[in-house]
Order: sequence, then structure tokens, then C-alpha cells
Amino acid sequence: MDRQEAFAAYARLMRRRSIIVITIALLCVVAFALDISTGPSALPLSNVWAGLFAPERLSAPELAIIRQVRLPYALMAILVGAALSLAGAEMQTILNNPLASPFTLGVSSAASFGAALAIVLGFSLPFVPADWMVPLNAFLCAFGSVLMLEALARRRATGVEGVVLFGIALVFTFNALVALIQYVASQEALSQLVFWSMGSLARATWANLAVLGAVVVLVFPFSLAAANAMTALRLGEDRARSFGIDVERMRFASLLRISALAATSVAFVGTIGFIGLVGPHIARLLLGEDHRFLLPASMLTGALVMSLASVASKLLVPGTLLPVGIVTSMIGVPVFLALILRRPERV
Amino acid sequence: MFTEALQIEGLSAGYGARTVVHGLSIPAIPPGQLVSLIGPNAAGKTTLLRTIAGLHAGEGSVRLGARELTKLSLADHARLVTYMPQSLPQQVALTVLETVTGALRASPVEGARLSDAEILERAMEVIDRVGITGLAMTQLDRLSGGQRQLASLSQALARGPRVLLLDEPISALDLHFQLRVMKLVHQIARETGMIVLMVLHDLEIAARWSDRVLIFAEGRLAADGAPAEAINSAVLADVYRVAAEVKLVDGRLRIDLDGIL
Repeated sequence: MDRQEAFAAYARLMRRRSIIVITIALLCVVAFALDISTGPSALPLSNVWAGLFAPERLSAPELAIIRQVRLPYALMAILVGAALSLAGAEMQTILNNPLASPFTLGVSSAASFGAALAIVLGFSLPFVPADWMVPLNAFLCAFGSVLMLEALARRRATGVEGVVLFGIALVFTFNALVALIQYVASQEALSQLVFWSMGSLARATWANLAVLGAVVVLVFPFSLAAANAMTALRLGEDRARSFGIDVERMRFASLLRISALAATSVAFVGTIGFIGLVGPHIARLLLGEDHRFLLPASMLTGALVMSLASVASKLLVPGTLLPVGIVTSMIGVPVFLALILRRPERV
Repeated sequence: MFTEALQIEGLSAGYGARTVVHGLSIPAIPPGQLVSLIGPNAAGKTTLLRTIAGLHAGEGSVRLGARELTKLSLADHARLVTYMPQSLPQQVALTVLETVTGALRASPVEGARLSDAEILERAMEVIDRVGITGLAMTQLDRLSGGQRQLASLSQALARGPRVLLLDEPISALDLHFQLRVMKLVHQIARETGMIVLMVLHDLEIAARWSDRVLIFAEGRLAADGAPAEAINSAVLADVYRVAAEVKLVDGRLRIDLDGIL
């Protein structure tokens, strides 16, 4: 291979990546439409289209189903998938650990615990609207757990396995604490808590969507701005620092983003597992680890998997809407195992 | 063409209570020189390089021309000094070309910001000179140890530093590439005035290609000078604790360590 051939191969690779990203984005749109059309009363895709773009062609009940129920669900699936997957991708890089994700390392459990605490104790802060206490407390607990993980990951003696084991310990600890809270909770609080621990899109509202959407839109540009530094960090911490990157500061900023993404997601839909693990892995296998591609692509693959899981949650048991968290685990685990066991040839 | 000399005075560095580099002073290294760092394991060579690179806190002075490097921020440091660690991680889904362009994108490079096309051009040129054009589009996880070392070197050279610090850059290379790398680094140093400090274990190679040799033992300088002066029987015997015999044959240094070399 001479220089010109290498340039040509590079141009082909870039083209291939663009095509892959566009294809995933298109698949997201298809999954999104399918998600709206499936449910207790199946709607043909033509009605989905009309519901979104030509409301005068539909009856009032059909329009209400699409606009008030299906659309918020489907949008929530896309947003949560994108948020958790982006959080997972960043986490895998800054902790230098392919098994890191908000779910596997206990960040989601911590957020669940924070939310449970807020629900049961019903505490409030001055100047903070009551509706915000649950997500806010979820965020604080998530951030706390992320800080602990980071402190541990920074100790050289801990090693990669140590961080994962500590994360698993966090999962068990917070799950036990949530179970404890459930045990002493009132009947009303209990039903809310169960919703958390299962993970479901059923409580998607336009207000929730607006908050999560705002978090994703605010966080993403900062993630993208750190993309080059993250790519460098994959080549080793010493190397990244010798490029002039303040690794500590970058890690801290990234952890803030991860907490915001994971905690807001968990605050609105409960614990949804494996998206933050599977999304980035699919993106990495398809596109490599140049984070300028990896981060946006992770969001897209996460959104796609989540959207498909949402469709499956309505179809798997006819007449029943399964909590989507159950489905993501059911799809996520085999996909993940397949990814680990079969490493395909790459260009 | 860079014109500043590198000078180190009273430099100490260590880990916690354990001092690894003891008040080291290295008289001015003029621009364009290739200096080899030699010595047994744990003599403080890597710590010295990392301290010069600003990755490790130390006491004392490291001056490049009039600039005191120890007072510079990490980013300003990175503009002048490039450090190449011993290893490049294996399990990374990046091609060799991306490894080099990624370094250029992530680091402040002397002069203006480069455009995408310039970054690509510069990366390819270095990869070409190092002699691994055929591997440009190969992912790191498919390279041998030696190939990864060449990718790592390309990455370091592409940043065009004034001071290049190489930690055992040829340890995994075959004979062809050992010579090629030494020749290339020597040539670039002469062309640009870049100062090169490299940790080497092969005394013959150090003797043949270096302008100056620094021999370390237990964090102190045991010898400093032109290869023929610094590398001598007494110093080697003392530093490596083996019987050593150094002879000058036809203008080349012949080194015999306990009958091994």
C-alpha cells in the first residue's frame, strides 16, 4: 500500500462510516414509527403519519391516542436510549473499562435509591418545586456513586476488575436499600417505587420529555467538544497528558455529564438496564473508537435498541404492556454476549 | 529550525518518600543533538523523562532556552515537549492513521491550528517516513508489539516537538527497523534542531548513533560525554556489575560485557 492508496482507503472508511451513521438514523425513524403504531389498538403506519403531520384526517380518539399516549412513549424511548448510551460510551472511556455503564456500575441503582428516598420521605427544599425533588435527589445520589467510582478508578492499585467489582457492590447495596425502603413504604409510595425498579416508559409526559430533551441537548455539545481528548485517553493516560490534556478535569466534567444523563433518565423511567452497555458496543464495532463518530453513533444505536425494545414490550405478550426494562435486559444480555464471543473481522 | 538548548539543574523526583532521581544536573544539550540514556532497570531513566515532560512533579530546574519548563502548564509543555511512553495499548479500535491524526487533533501543535486535510497530510508523511505506510489503515489490535512501537513513534514525531523524549523506542523492533528508526530520528534532529533524549539498552546502537551518552545508576549520573568517553570499561563494570571491556576498533566502539556483547 502506498500513500495514495492509504488516502483512498481512508476516504472509503469515512464514506462507509457516514453511510452507517445515516442508516442507523433512518432505522431509528422506522423504529420510532413502529413504536407509535403498535399497542393495544394497532394503528396502520398511514395513520401514524397522519397523526404527526395531517391531524385533520384522523378521528378525535385516534388523534388523542397518538398525541397523548403513543408519541410521548416513543419519544421517551428514543431520548432515554440516546441518553443512557451516551453516558455508557463516555463511562467506558473515562474509566477505561468496557464493562462500564450506568446500569452495571450501580449509577442507575443509586439514582433509584435517591428517587425512592425522595418519594418516601417526601422532603422538599425551599425554592425547589416539589416535582423536581425526585429527579434532583436521583441526580445527587447518582453523582455521589459516580464520584466514588472515579476515586476508586484513579487509584492505580485498584485495576480494571476492582472498579467493576466495586460497581457491582454498589448495585447490590443500593438495591438492598431500595428494597428496605419498599418494605417500610406506604401502599401509595410502594406502587411508585415498584415502577422505578422495573423501568417503564408508561409515565412519559410532555413535561418529562422536555426536561430530558433539554439535558440531552445541553450535554451533547460538551461531550462532542471532549471527543478528541477522549480518543486520546484511549491510548493511555500518560500519553493523553503528554498531549497537554488535563485528564483529571476532563474526567470530572465527563462524570458530571454521565450523572446528569443517567439520573434524569432513571428519574423519569426507572432503572432500564443494558442500553448503556449494548449501545456503545454496537457503535464501537461498527465505527471504531474515534469519539467524534463513536459518541453520536452511540446515541443513535442506543435510541434504536431502546425503540425496538419498546415495540417488543408491546408485542411479546399480546394484550400486555411489559415494563420495557425487562425487555432491554432480555435483548441486551444475548446481544452483549454475542458481541463479546464473536469479534467480527474489521477493516 | 529550533535553536534552544535544554539544560537541567538540581532535578529531584520520586514517588512519595522514595526519591528516584537525586539532584540531577545535565549540562546544556544543544539543539539537534541525539542523547542516549543508558543504565540498569530502575535507575530513574523513565522518571527523568516523565519529569522533563511535565507528567511527574519534580524539584529543580528544566530549562529550554530561556523558558523554565517546570513552570509551564501541561498544555504549554505539550507544545514544546513530546514524551513517548514504552507501551501503546492494544485493545483499541483505532487505525494507525487515526492514532496519529488523533494525537494531532487532541494536542496543541506548535503554530496555528491545522485543518483536517493538513492533519491527514502531516500524519501520512510521518507514517511514510517511519516506513509503515502499509499499516496505515490497520487497527492497533492487529499489530505486533514492534508495529505498535512504530505507530507510537509516528504519533510522537508527527507532533513536531522541540524536545522528543523516547522511552525504549526500539526495544521490540527487528534489526531493520532498529536501524531505520535510529537513522530517521537522527536525521530529523539534524534537520529541525529537535533535541532527542532516548532510553536505550543496546550499547552498540547507543554508541553508534548518539552525539552524547548519559549513563545512570541509582538516580545519579555515572558518566556523561561523547560515546567513546562515556562508555568505558570502568563505568560499565561499575554500573552493570559485570566484567566489561570496551575497545575502539576501526573508529567503532566494541563492547564486551561478560562475553555477551
